[in-house]
Amino acid sequence: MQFWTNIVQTALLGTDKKQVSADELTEDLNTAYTIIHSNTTTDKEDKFLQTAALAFNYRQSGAQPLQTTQAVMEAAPAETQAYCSPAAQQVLLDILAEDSAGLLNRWLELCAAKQQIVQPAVLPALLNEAAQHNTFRPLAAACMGNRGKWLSRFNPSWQFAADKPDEDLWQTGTPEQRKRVLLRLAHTDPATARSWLQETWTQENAAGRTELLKGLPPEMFADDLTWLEGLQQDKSIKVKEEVQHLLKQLPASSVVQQYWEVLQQAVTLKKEKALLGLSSKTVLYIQLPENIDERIFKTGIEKTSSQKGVSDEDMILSRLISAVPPHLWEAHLQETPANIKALFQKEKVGALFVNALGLATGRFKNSSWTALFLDDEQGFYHDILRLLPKKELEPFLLKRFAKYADLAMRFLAEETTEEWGLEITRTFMQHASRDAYRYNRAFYKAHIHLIPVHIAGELNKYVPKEEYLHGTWAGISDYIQKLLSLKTQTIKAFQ
Amino acid sequence: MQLTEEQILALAPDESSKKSGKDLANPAKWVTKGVNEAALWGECQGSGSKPYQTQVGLVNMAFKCSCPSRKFPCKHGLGLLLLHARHTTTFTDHETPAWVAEWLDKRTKRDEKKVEKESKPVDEAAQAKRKEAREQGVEDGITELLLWVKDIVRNGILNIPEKGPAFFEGMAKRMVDAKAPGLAGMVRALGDTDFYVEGWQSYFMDQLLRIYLVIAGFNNRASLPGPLAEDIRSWIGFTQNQEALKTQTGITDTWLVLGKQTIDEDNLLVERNWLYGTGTNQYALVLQFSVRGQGITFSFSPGMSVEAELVFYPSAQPMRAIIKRQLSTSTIPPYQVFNNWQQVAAAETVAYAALPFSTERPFILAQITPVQYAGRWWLADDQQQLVQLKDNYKHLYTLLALSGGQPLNMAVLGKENVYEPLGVWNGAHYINISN
Repeated sequence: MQFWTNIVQTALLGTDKKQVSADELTEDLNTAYTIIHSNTTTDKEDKFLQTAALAFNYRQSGAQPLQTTQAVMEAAPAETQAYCSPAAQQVLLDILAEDSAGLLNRWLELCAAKQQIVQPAVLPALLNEAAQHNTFRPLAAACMGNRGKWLSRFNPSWQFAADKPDEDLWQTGTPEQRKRVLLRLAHTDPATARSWLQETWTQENAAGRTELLKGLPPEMFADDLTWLEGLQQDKSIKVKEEVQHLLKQLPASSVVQQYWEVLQQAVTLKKEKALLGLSSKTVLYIQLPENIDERIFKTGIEKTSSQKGVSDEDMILSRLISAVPPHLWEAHLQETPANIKALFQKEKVGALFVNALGLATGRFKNSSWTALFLDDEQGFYHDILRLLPKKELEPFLLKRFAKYADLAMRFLAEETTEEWGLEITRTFMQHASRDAYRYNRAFYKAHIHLIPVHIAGELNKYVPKEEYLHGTWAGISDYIQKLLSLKTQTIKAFQ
Repeated sequence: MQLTEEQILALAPDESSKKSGKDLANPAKWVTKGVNEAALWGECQGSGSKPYQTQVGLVNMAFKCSCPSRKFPCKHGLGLLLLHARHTTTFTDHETPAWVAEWLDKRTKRDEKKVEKESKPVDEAAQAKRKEAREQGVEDGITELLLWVKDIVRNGILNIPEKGPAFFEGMAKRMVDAKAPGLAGMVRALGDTDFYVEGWQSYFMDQLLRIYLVIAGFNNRASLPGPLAEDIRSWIGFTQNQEALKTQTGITDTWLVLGKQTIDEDNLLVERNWLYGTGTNQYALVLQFSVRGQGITFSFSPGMSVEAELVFYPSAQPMRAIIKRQLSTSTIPPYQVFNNWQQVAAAETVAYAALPFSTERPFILAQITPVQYAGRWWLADDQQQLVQLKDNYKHLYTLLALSGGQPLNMAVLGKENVYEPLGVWNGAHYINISN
């Protein structure tokens, strides 16, 4: 369309500087051009505007589609799974409009369990959700069918859904994709995960190295500690911190061994006479060695106490106790776990030491020690609770609610993934209805998948006693009802 | 009448109404509810002591509610329609209650009154005098506008981006003063050119030449054929008496709503409804205007079929129309298609020959596939002919998801080589994907 370019160029310069000539237009317009320019009653601006208007209409009237055989679109493969029902699709749309992560997760779980897929029209919304929330990605991938995988190719932020082999993703994927592949492999094939990480380690920058290490299970390195130990010499402080975090969870690591060596010297058994020498009792003799291995203070063990009434020495000891596997004490002291706990309990700062043992039990997932701390009414061992199955966890939390309501509720909200039982939900609601500031709409929107639908009929029982809270609770309970209704519809749609 | 949820939600005036309407699509919220051929009604328990009385006329999708909301339709109307769509069988009451009968009766009487009012004689002499004065004012304004246009081309458009909005707004206001609001809008559109986009010069010239063509058309109006002269008057901003239009016989057809575009212009909401006459193969544009939620007479949503009589504004290429009467709503009838882009180009040639300053038009095409080529998206027909997909088209990924690389029957809106999809057919179901 050179003729139109010539018109625009003349317009840019202005008719004072340039006029369009006949040879700048197409031949078809020559006759009209001659008529326009032979009119002696019009000025040069009129002549240009008339010529340009003519060219404008010539252009738009003669517009032709582009003809090419090179614009080829590879079609999405046919689906092998059934689409979800229209009812399920409608609930999904309502859930997406409500922006409830909890409900979306539940919907996807049920859809994936039925081996069904979403209708194509909703794929962009689903892929956007999965792009924003990593946790949805595996389920979204299971429910998007071949069409979703095909579609994800066209949007760079949906690349996570492209059906690429793990090795390709590891070699050519985005940092996020590589991290996810490594994490997945670390659980299923730790040896390969280690070898991939080792192969590319020197090519990664410090930020990349830190990100790759974050969140990896320490067990991945259990069979080959040497390489991980070597990384303590890394130049990056952040990388070193991540390495130490991993090493501290591995009983055979040098750092845990250093701690244990100090503790072995510091804690010994001693027999004392009792009842005027008629009997004897066994007590712990605890004292930090004079020539303490200074390396332990470079790995996160603080030298000073942060707690009033606790000496620096006791604080160092409790920190070390919490950082070594508790079963090591059994061989060292030649006592049963229960006796060892009792011995520490007798100390002046017994509660501090027992708490440290509890932390160590959770950290090193030491099942033979777990029961000891579940019966302990003095502590709330977050890490140990993580080891409990639902049927043991909920009765335990119910017993602790009176004393540790806040901790129990936070644990339920942050650490559980399975739907709660009715009894614990009732207790939760009784407390939550009085704390609308924390347990607000946003909370229920994110956690509704954990709340059983049967609680819907009982919400009016949890009206707080305080009258000023009635209005807020009415609004929140209406909202919970709405979310539970969507949850019920989701369950029904996949029955 | 049975609208899909998507179609009901498309009637909502805003996102918050959609959300609230969904919340009210809950049987527990409704004290009573019923439906028959004429209306859908229900009483919704709100925060007050008395429930709100909500009613929907099913013949022409009219809404009425006793709630104080200014939105149209209100959340109760939407909620009631959604509830009916989800739980049709729970609407067991079919006998019109007194309050619904009263409303339906009032509407019928109002229509009759309108007919009476229309039959009143008008003072033709006074009307002619007013018309003459208006034309003189417009003529003066147009002379001034022509000088402004000539100044622009004399000095060149190179420095136009530096002139700022006041340069255009000043002339637009002069056109308003000259009672040429259509030209004022065209001048504002010229000033709205995105000077940061590559190729703005071509877009600017297109719009400037449209203005020039309207000016030239008005100055030569005596020699123009009647319909084209009417087009010129309409573009200048002379209003057509809608009541007079309604006295003419229109085209009765089943009209499929292809798309609905809503534009906010200085607190005036302009609703552009693109319709397609399934029996007559005629396309139509029905405009509705609303100020603060008031003023919309007909409720359209894409994919809806409307049995109605439309009267077209006189034009060389009739497109804009008003609804003279709406008979009922029905299911989607078959439609005719353009088979390829070449046929569309031929239709465009005819249209521009008759009306050179017209803008985008709708078309229904068969078997169109979105394709990626030379770094951008195109719409390809089965002859391997391509037109560009409009830049910033919002629903590209939905279009791709629906297509999956396979051709679809598609309604598009555009001109020359650039089009945007309004909707696609999935079997007999029309899916709205308009911006």
